[in-house]
Order: sequence, then structure tokens, then C-alpha cells
Amino acid sequence: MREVTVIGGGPSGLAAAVGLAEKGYDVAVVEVMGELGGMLTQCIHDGFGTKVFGEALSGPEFSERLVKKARSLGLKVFLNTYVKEVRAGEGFKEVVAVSPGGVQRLQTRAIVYAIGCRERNGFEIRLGGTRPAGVYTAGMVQRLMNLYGVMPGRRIVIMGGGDVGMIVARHLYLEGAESILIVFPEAGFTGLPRNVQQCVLDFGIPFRPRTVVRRILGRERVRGVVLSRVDEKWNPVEGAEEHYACDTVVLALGLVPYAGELRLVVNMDPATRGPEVNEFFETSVEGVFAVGNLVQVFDYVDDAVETAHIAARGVEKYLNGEPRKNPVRLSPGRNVKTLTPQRVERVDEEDVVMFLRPAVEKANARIELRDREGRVLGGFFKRYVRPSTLERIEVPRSMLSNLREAVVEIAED
Amino acid sequence: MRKTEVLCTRCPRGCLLRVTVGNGDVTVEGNECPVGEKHGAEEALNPVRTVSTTVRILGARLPRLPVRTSQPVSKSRMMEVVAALRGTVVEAPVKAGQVILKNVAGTGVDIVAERDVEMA
Amino acid sequence: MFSLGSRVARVLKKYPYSLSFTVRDGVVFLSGEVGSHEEWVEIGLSVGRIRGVEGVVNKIRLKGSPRNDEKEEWRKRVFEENKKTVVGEYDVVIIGGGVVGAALARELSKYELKTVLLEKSPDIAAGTTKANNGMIHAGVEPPRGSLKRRLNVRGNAMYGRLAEELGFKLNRLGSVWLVTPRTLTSYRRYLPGPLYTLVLKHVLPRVVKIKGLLNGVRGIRIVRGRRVFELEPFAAKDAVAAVYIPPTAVVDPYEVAVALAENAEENGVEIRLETMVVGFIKEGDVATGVVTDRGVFLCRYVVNAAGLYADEVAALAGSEEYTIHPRKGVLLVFHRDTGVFTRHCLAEIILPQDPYTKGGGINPTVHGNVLWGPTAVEVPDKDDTSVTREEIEHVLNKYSGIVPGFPRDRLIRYFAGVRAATFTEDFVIRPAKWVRNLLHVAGIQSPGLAASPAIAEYAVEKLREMGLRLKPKKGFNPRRRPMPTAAGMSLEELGEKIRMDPAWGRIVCTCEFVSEAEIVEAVRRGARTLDAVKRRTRVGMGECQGSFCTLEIALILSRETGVPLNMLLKEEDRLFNGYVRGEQP
Repeated sequence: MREVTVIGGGPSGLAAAVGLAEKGYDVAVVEVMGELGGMLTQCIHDGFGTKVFGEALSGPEFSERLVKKARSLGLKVFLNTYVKEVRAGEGFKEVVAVSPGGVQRLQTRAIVYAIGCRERNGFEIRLGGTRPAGVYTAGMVQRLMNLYGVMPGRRIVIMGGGDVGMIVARHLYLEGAESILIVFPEAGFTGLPRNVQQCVLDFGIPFRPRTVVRRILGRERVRGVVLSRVDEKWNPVEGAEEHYACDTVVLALGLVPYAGELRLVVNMDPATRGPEVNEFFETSVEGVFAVGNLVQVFDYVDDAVETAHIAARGVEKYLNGEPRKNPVRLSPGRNVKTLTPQRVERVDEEDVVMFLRPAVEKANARIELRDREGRVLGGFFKRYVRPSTLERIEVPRSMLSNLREAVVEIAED
Repeated sequence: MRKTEVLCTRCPRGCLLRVTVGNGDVTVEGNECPVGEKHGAEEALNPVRTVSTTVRILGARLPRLPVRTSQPVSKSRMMEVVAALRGTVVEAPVKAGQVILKNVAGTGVDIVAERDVEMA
Repeated sequence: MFSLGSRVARVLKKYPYSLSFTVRDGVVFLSGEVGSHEEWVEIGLSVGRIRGVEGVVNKIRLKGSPRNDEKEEWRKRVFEENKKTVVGEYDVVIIGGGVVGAALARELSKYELKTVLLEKSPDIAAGTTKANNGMIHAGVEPPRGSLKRRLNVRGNAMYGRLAEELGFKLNRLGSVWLVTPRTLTSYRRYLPGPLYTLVLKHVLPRVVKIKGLLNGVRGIRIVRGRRVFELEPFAAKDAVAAVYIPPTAVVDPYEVAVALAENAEENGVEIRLETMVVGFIKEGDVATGVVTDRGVFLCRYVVNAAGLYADEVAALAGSEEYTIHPRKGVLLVFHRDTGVFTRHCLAEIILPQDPYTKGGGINPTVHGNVLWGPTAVEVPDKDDTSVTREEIEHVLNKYSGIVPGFPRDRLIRYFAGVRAATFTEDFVIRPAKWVRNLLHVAGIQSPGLAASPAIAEYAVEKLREMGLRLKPKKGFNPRRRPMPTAAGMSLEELGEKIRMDPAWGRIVCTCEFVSEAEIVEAVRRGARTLDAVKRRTRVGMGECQGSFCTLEIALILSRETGVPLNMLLKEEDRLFNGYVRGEQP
């Protein structure tokens, strides 16, 4: 029986598989697409791997490194294979996989899910109007252009001020779109400043903060949109509507963990919308791990890959039969939107790595770990925090001893 | 005297730097740390960028090959670099790092393939 | 004795506008000017209600609305360009490829006839047929004397066999109509105190049952108290009684239409897509040819099943007897996970009910999704399938009382369809008054889908009365080749299928578990556009709403049809536009 099956061959899945194979475990990777690399194959811009490799690589280059490693380790890879379900057996798990080779039942002791996110669509934000050709999510547009060389349209409106929207704006600009306008309801871009400079300001791409698309116009193809200014609560301002002619609407509305059927099997965190995990990225079901964007949306692939390395150590503990302890439950507190992990429950020497999404923008911020009574157990100083940048802290285990619950927050001034 | 504005990208704060370039000297305002001062000066005097795009490829599974500048090029020449690649056609197989176009647009920088591509 | 004319005059006098009319063979032609679309509709409906009126042609203009002659000029030009090019000679030409046209085609395919169906879109069911909640009503609601009622009940009964022959999914789940404290709120002042509850629990359900019985609906049962929750565990806790109507079923309406059209085609009917009618060639009061943008189809008989455009087709033929007033219905789609919250088509009886629409409710689909709606709003534009945020909120508020715990955050999509309603608000299935060989099959609004097999049967009978000779075709095959799905088979069966064709093992839509083989089969059966593939295979109908699979499907479509990626259509317009840096592959 195989020791570990990794579901998802993107950067996180590959990193987990490579990490475990290097430790000598028998690992297989199951990937639904026809090649490994996940979303990285379409992210042709650079900026990946500054932490992991010390270089600013493009997506394909980063992915290539992991794939070559995997190949050199002789990792078993199943391409064009979709995991339909995972069943629990006596002391093992059964992965039901569908591929052009047939329906296979792969028995495995541990599973690492690394299936990433999907993009939020217009229906989730109640985008009104018609549903014509020409409305696409940003990731799809990126793939269409970078892998197939086709433009989605000529005159583009991009909804969303995050990283994905800005990066796709740059692709569109470089490849000859006639016009581009970026709109978003916040007061400023919500992505990394690097992207604001290098994707928007460098090219003078027009953008409008505090602006939303109220509805899409056009019967068979997008003809235009109705834009509206909004206030700080994102409510449309009376009389501030405008018709704007365009032929394409690109939705860059954010990513959501694509948990699918997993949602019915493990405990989920409504804040991250991903599975609840312990400090080794193990879900509520023992032996089932979740890494990468599936757990929560990461800004840098380097951080997503780190979760895979941590999980590899967790898989080792599981396969060695180390028992889980009573968990310390962690939750996001004041000024923190999401916190991972949600539980600490294994015996280990190393500090617990936690990732948190700030809900505020603040200079000289103090991230605090507090117990249920509100006593401060520890603090971490950050020069500047903002929602667009995921923060990472390393919490010594001693801070969590004898606790049942703890909260992580960003202190008010 | 030349004034320019640039967003610092060295930390999440993203200070808006106002840089003034005079005769042989540079002043940076708006930075909250010395790293930002350095960044502002670099950006004002010699901003460089990596350019990534795709070119046509024949005989492979997919019709486009992702390519990039081997080194960052001067920001002002980005669009020239992209235009210089217009009409370029490559044939599979290709190796990551392979030079697709030498000295693109006279910048002294090469265009290289970002990945291996096998023959279909 | 009041003549029809004087009755019309009396109705029109009530309005503060100068309106005039003429009457010809029971059809009232209205003209004049009013201020709003609502008034235009109201006047039309008031005249339509008059006893003896067989049709209302409403030419009343809206004050201040511009004349749009572009469409008419285009039509005239295309007519001139095509009127001499004969494509073929047919016994019957069916205009319209919705579920009614497709049902007609299939019915006619049982006879020795040369039949052709003309559809302006690139696919069957691209109009109103694809945009409703798929309910096969039992027939309780339509007015007893209406044609709607008769054909609804007959059609409902025909669906079981039809589903079996044509291999489409049918779920005969029944409806449950809840009686709650809100049911008779409008009449509360007539029913003080305990009388209200008494009427709710004992009188009203019986009245509904009797209405159903008189309409010819069988098996209606009344449940009260706790038994309501045995039927529907998640229903509003204050429901006091419920009427259970077993014959109600649900289908995927586009699957039904496509199945009918495929079987018709297998049995010799020609289906011509992307073919739009622009006029007729007449000899006296007989239409001898149907002129389209692809040439002339010579005909012995013409059937007008053109849905929203049936009035325009009728006018072109020279027998304009009705005007369509479009009525939009918005529907909300919830994820398959929510299917557990309702076991039947569920509605709350609220009286008085709008006489022209049903109340709508919470309805499962054959796949387990749940649909909320539809609304019913008069709109001036036949193509208005827009949905606003306000409409979404309206539907959420209207039906959230029926199943209070329903997870509304599992909303994955919303859409709208437009009903082709006439001012007499009943099916118009009769020979044209002023064109001898034209049969109207128009004004098919709800319960059109449920009635469609019966509409086809009835219409063909009318054709026979008009002189069409119906000789049964030897070798008519009622069975359509079924279209298996990966999602609908066991893993063992899927394994077998993959052994014979590996494309069954490549899953291209992970949200709904659809394989590449199904996409290829859909194209083989005539799907040429993304939406046509989507309707036949369910791709893009899940959680991600196409953000993952659209490109994959487009690639397969491109490969199978030979159309470059850049030129593929979503429905009637292209998905994409141009190449990166203008570089054509």
C-alpha cells in the first residue's frame, strides 16, 4: 500500500510530494490536468521563489524546479486523473481516481490535499444585468492569453483591485488590448504595492477606486457596463451612475478554496472557507492533510510551499503513529480576518508557524497572542501591516502550554 | 530638475516616494526607512523591469511559449521589447533558458524561454 | 344586445387617452397612444378579457418612444435577396425550435411527410424554453375552460412515456402547496379569530382539491398538522395544512427539447438552425413559401411556433391576430447540496393570486439543484433577460418563508426567461383566420412545457382538419439514442465505458463530473456553441460557474468542429476576440 497520496500537482502538492519523497516515503501525485505545475504554468510574470530559491523566477520556472526534483526522485505521477472521492478503510484510505486509464482505487495511508482555489464569479457578488459572452474570470483570461494566444476582447473593464486583477491588466496591456479600466469598491488597490507600481502605474492603466459595476449590458456580447461610485460602506451613491462602453468584463473578485466534496468530510473554517487544520496542516480527519491555497489564500507561492514542508513533517508524525493531544483552539481576534492553523495538537520542538490576514492597515503594529481571559501571552512587532499582505509569525510552543484556547489579534493603539 | 513619483515595493507599507533628481544628486521624500530611500533613487535614476510575454511555437502541445528578458531592462524600453517579438516563431523542442532572441531591441538583454517544451 | 364592438368601446372609454379600434373576425386591432408600458399592457388585457374577443393586436404606441425602422429595413433587404432562391419543397414548415416546435417536429415525424423545422438561433431551445424552472405542472391552476388546462393535464400524463422513449430525465416528485397563516391574509377581516384557522385548515385545502378535481387532476391529497412535516420536514413551522399533488414532475426543459428534436431528425425531419424567417410568398390567401435568410422553403402547410416572435411571423404571413406582451420571470439557482431541503415542488398558497401567473415557489431540478421563483414582470423588450440586484432580493424575500432554514448563501446563479404571452392569455392553437394553410401555435406561456406533447398532438389534429393527409410512417422509431453521463452511472459502468473510449476518463468539468466523451457526443449530436454544449452536458452549471472549465470546453469544441478558438460562439456571438499581438496561429 502506498504511504502518501498527494492530490493536486501544483506548487504546494509538488513541494509536499518532493519533501516526503526526500524523506524516503513512497509518494504518488494525482493531477487532473495534463501536466504538473498548476496555476504557475500560466503565471509567466516573475516574482516567484524569492524566499524558496532566493531568485525572482517566473511561474513556469518555479514550477520547472519542482517538477525536475520530482522526476529525479522517481515520484509516481498520475496525470489527467481526477479524484472523485476518498473513502475511509480499516487503517487506510482509498482514493477513487478516474482517468483515461480507467477507474482506479488507490489505497494509501495518508493523503495530502493540494487542490487550491477557484475564482469568485459574478453571481457571488450579485452582479446584475445580462449574462452575455465576454464575461470571464481573470485566471481564465490569463490562461487564454498565455497558453493559447487568444485575447478575450478589445476594450476591457477589470473588476477588482487585488493582485490577480492587476497582473492580468498588465498581460492585457502588453499584448495589445485597446483599452483597459480597473474598478474596485475600496479606496485603494488591495494587492501588493509592487503590483500597483509594476502592473498599473508603469503603464498608466486607468483605474477608479470606490467604483463598482452595477450591471452588465449587452444581449449576446458585452456592450458596456453601468458603473456607480460607492461610499465607504460600498453602497452605491445616488445619481452617480454612468454607462461605460466596453466589450469584455474581467472578474478579479478574489479566490475561494475549492474544497468541493471535502467540505462534507472534514471540519471547515467559515473565515478562510478552507478546511480547519492543525499546526501540521492536518484536517479534522487524522491522516488527511491540506496544504497551499486550499487551506487559505496565500499571497506568495513561497508561503504556500512552506505549508507543504510543514505538512510533510506532520505526515511523518502520523505515519509514525504519534498520537494527537487535546487541541489548543486558535481563533482570529480583533483586527484579524483569518488565522491558520486553527488547532495546535501535536508534540514537537519547533515553533508553530501561523499565518494571519490583517483586517486593518497599520504602522508599527503589534500582533498579540492572548488567552481566553484576555491576558497577553506574547507579542510580535511588524513595521507595517495591511490586508493585502498575509503576515507570518513563529510562536514558541511554550507560549501555548496549558492552554485550551488562544486568540491572535492586532492591538489597537 | 526632474521630479518623479514611485511606489516603494520593498515592504507592505508601500510608501509613495517623491524623488527629485538634480545635477548629480537625488533627494527622496516620503520614505519611512533607508531601504525606501535607496529604492526611490534607483527607480528615479534607472528603473528596470523584467518583461514576460509569449511567442508563437510550432510543433508543441500548446501554441504559445512563455519567454522573458534574461535580465531586467530599462523601464522605458519595455514596449519596444514586446514589439520586437512580434511575429517571432519558434519550433519545439525548447529548453528552459534557451535564447530565443539575442539582444532584443538593442538593449543588450536576451529573450529566453521560461520552460521546457517537448515536441507534441 | 351588445356587439363585440360596443363592448370594446366601453372598456376603452375608461382610459384617459384617445384610443381607437377596429374589429375583424373576432380580432380587435387597437391604436392610439398611451404614456407607459404598464398601461399598454393593461388596456390590452382588459380588451382581451372581453367575451368573444379571439385576439388583440395592440398597435397602441408609447408616447415619446422612437421609431426603430432598422430591423424592418434589414428584413426587407434580406427578403429581396433570398426570395428567388428555393431551398426545397416541404409538406410542413415549422417555424420555431423551442420545445413546442420540437414536439411538433417529432409528432409529424411519425407520418409520411416532408417536414422541416426552422430556428433562427444556432441551437434548439435557445429562447424561452431554456429559461424556465422545468416544471411539468399537474394542471390545477389554469382556468377550467381554457385550452391551457386541457392540454396541460393531457401533456402531464404523456410525459412518463415520453421520458422513457426519448431518454430524458424526469422526476415525478409531486407538489406540496402549503397553507400557512399568510395564505388568506388579504381576507382576514372577513374571517375573524378562530374562523380564520378553520377556513385555512379545512375549507381552503378542500377548495383547492375540488378545483384540481374539476380540472381533471388525479390523486390530490390533503394533509394537516404534523403530517405536513412528514411530507416536507423543512417547511415553515407554522404551516397548518398542505395540498399534495402527485402528478407534478420536473425536467431539464432544454434536454426535453433537444431529445424531441434529435428523435424527429432521426425519423427524417430536417432541422435548419441559424435560419431566420423574413417573409412569405403568397398566392392569394395561401402561403406557398417561407422566405428566410437562407432561401425559400416552399410549403403546403406552415406552423407558426415562433414563441416570442410568433406575432411578427403571423403579421409577415398576413394573419396578424395577436400581439405578444413579453413577461419576464427571474429564477435563482442554488447548489446541488441544497437539494435535501425540499422533496417536492414546494409553494405557499397566497391569495388572491395574480390571475395570469402562478405564484412560483421552491423547486428541485432533476439534478438536485433547487430553483426559487419565477417572478412575473411585464417588460417592453422581448429580449430582456437581465436580472437586477433588486429582483434577486425580491425573490429571496418572497420565498424565504417557505423553508426558513434554507442556506441562501448557496446561491450559485440567477437567470431570466421571457414568456410569450398574448392578451387573451390562453394558448392560440388554431388555423389562421386570413391565411388558409397557416396554423398558429402561439401564446405558449406556462404551462407550455408541461403541455407540449399534447400541444403537438392537438396541433397535428388541427392540421389534419385543415386537409393535411397523415399516413403513418413505417419504421418510425420512437426511441432516441440515450445520452449517458459519467455523473449518472456507477463507477463500474464508468470503468467499462473508459475501456471502450478513454475520453470517458478525462474529467473536464470537476464541479459536475462531466467527461470529455460527453462533450464530444454533444458536438456529434449538433452542438456548435458553448451554450449548446452546456445545455446538453451540464458543464459550467456547478459551483465555479465555468471559471475552470469554459476554456477546456472551448478547446474541445474547437478541435471537434474545426472552428478556431478565436471564432467560437457562446450562443450567437463570439466568446473571444483577436490574438495576442495580432499573431494568428
